[in-house]
Amino acid sequence: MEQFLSYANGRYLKVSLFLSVFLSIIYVMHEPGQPKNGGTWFGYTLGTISAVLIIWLMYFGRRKRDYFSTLGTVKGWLSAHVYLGSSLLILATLHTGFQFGLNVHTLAYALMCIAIFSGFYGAWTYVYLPIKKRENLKTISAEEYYLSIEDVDRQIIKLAKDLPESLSLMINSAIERTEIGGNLLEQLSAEDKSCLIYKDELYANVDQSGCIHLLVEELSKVTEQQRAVQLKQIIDLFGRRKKSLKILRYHIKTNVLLKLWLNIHVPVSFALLAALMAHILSVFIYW
Amino acid sequence: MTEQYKIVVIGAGPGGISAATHAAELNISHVLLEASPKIANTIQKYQKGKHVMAEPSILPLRSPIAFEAGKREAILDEWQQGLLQNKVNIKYNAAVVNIDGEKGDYKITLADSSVIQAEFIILGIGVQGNPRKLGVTGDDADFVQYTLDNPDDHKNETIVIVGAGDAAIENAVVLASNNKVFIVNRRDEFARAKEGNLNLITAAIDKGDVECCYNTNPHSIELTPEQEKPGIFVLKTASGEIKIPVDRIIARLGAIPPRALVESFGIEFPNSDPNSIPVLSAKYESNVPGIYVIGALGGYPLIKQAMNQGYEVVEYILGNNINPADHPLLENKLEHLPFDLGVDEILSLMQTEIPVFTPLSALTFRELMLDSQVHVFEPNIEIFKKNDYTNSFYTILQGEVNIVIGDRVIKSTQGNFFGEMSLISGRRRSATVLSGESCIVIETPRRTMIKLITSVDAVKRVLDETFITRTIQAKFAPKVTIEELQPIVSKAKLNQYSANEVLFAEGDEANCLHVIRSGSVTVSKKVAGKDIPMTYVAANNVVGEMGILGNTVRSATITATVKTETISIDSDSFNDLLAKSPTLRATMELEVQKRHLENTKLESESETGDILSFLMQQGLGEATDVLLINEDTCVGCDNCETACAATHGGTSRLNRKAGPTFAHVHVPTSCRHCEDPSCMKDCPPDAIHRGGLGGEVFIDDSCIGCGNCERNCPYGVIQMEYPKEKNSSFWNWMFFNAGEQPGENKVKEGDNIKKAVKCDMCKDIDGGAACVRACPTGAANRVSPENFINVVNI
Repeated sequence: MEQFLSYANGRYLKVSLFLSVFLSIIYVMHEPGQPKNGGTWFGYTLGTISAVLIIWLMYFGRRKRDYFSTLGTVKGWLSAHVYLGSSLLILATLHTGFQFGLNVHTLAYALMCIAIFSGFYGAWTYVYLPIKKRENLKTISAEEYYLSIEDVDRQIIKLAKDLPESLSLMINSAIERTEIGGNLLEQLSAEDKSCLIYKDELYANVDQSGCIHLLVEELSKVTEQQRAVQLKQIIDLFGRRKKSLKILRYHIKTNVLLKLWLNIHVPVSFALLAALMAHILSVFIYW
Repeated sequence: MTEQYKIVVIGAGPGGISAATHAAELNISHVLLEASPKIANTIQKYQKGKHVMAEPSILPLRSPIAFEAGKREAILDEWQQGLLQNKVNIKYNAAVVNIDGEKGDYKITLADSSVIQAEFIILGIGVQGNPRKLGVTGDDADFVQYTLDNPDDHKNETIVIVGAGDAAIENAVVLASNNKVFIVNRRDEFARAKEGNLNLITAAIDKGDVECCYNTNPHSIELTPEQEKPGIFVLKTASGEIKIPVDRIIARLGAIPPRALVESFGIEFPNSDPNSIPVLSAKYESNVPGIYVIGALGGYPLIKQAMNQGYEVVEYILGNNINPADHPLLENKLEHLPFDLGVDEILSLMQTEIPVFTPLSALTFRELMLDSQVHVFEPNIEIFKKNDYTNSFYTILQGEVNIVIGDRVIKSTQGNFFGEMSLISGRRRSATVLSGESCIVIETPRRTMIKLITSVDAVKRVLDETFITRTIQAKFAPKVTIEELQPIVSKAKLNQYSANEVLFAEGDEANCLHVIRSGSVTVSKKVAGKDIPMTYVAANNVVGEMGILGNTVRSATITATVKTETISIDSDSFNDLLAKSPTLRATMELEVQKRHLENTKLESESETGDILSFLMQQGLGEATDVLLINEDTCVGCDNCETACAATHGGTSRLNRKAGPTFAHVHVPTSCRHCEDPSCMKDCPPDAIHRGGLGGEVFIDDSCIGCGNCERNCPYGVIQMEYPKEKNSSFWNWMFFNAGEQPGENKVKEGDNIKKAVKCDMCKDIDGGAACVRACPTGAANRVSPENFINVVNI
């Protein structure tokens, strides 16, 4: 199936390449009789194209939410957004004439670069992370993993009912104190902060290993066959739990990554818009 | 002494109440018998405050009892008042167990063995049936109940629920949060329950919220008025008796369908189909003279219809030949016809002119005509187009039509019918039909025709035969006349397969081919001892021709994915066809070659088969258009859901996250527009339709919010939702934070009811499916089953 990057056989990639190469050639051939800068006729042309492009790129936020629009599909727009946005990097750079300084003009340029590069990262996540996500989940959905954990928990609690109290309390605490998700940083790190209580003390239970370790210890001491079978079953179930939890942690992390970059891309774009207006205004008033 | 009445009305539903009240206002001796302790048992069972609609709105009400749309309580109250004011003689808790005698002298035996004499009987007992009783001593105690009105009414009680079905489980789970709940199951598992309910009850039992007594039967109920709990429920378990002091016993043991009772009165049903309706005269009289049937039992499920019939039936009993309430509607419908005749004459003319309608009773035909449209066409008007998704049925009252199949035109004349192919298969139209000279046709909606087919055998037979003839002609021998095909047609067989049934297996001797009439099949091959599905074949296609052409054994196994009907043609008949139609062999061989190529291509893809079987497990075998999400490109932005909500009044009809996934294919919870939609089967106002070119199944504004479709949909894609406000403009939201964000509309204020909403494939939106167009990465796609294989092989 067609990706947004290959939309319509890379139509917008071709448009962007043509635009960039064509304007670069003119830039090289252009002899304004003064140092190349944004104030020559060609500089103004580049500036105007870039400014219009920025407004249009930002309009993508509207088009994405204009659900009745029949003007192309969001996929097509995204393809164009990515490629034409990339060409902006070249167009705007040419517009600067490579004159940088500590001023509002360079600020606008810098913000634009941040917006574009965060967009590159976003495009990368959109292409690669869904595949990673799917490979991580194997063949079933995240929802099914959550359900399977619930199911495993039920079985564990049932099996643990008639174990010695210290052990059944430990098992219940391991289930209750399993951590997944959490705040943004915790979601991103995918670190396991689960713990358990054994004989009134708190222990870490990273990847359920603390719990499994205690159960294995108990198993080695057991002489009764039925109890041994029961413990083995519980250990197996914790093993399954560990697997599912690990998969879900990675799943949560990828989901965050898929969204997080937008929190840079969008605000920076708005900042860019403000800086761009300041840039244009100051050029017309003070130049 | 036995009581004696002219009219005995059985069943105090809308029809019965209306009939008894009309008898009362005419001062006719009468009694209204109701098996339960309240009137209108079915409506009593609606949830509290439910809005009851008065459909069809065009039909005038003709009854001494008032009725207009409103809250359940208000309506019941009004009826109760009406009964009082008219001094209707009503007996509650009077279940009829037997009827003896004949017209003028019936003896009606009640459950308490008392006998009532009647000259005429009006039967209006509905189709819901009475709840199956516990059947143990003490089950008449007032703490024994068969329904649960409002779970919040019960707190800190000990409640025993008897039953293992969905109703029992749902009650047990909802009551468990505030009460001590036991559930009594005769068996050792909950085999009858839906998957979701099974999970709920197992979880509740594991957690100890509900205590389950397996392999247990109710034994008796002892009353203990002096003690804290009003009774003791004695249960028989595998290990002996247990006694539970209870506040309440709720028995959810299902209902006894009333058909057996009705048949015991001597009333005949045309066949064993559970949906069939007793044969009635135009005056609602059954085959037993003096016994009249009205309301849902007679095939009229709407309240207003039943009430009108209640009034009319009393008039008919009195010998008054009044016109039915629907008379003006029919008059209106038929007035543009160029006949100088009254309604009844036109109707009987139609029945004589159109053989397929001749076997119908006058009443059934009248009902059919109420749903149908009569079109008078100028010559050369397109009635429907090939590949349209319409599925109504047409009969020719006058003149002729031209059926265009490829480059051939077949004329069909007065008395014939067309459009039955799509009616039966649920698939697109297979030909274009144009009107001919002086053409008048009757168009009958699919739902009405399906009802007719299940209730009148003669109609089913005629349609089936024609279907077979036309299928064979269209598929194999377009140039051969129907007369010549007759011997082949008579040998062709109609077969029915349930889901997962095998039509034939790889290695079997090839002795026939199948044309799929409805449903769909998968073609699978054995690879390393395992059946691997190779492809999917939808209705209106042929399978099994490979074996029969090559005269070899079957090269693949064909399995029905859903309930499937096929027409099978044996090898001798097929050889006849080959002889009659010289080009047939060449076309079929080409088809076979194509399929061989496809198969070899698929064999190399090991995952393909697994994904295909996954899709079939999700019931996509009966889909005509389904939303699939490619997990390899889905970024989880939910723009599809927002797009759906924003374009459909604020409620998304799809749930992206929900639904199963296999490999990269995710099936979100969203309508698949089934070939034979379960949602359409029981819609009282007939608000669910199938659209034209897209074939979308959609719900129109006449939805009364009954929730039948939501319950009937096996895939959970219909929701009941309150109507929502329109959103303010995007820019106002964006810059001034005014209103809600796109797709998050506020619920409308005021006294609104929940109505059913579902995917309508964006039939009213330019550009098509909003979910697909709003997907930034192209992960969301709408796919028809013919293209499954392409989705699978990405």
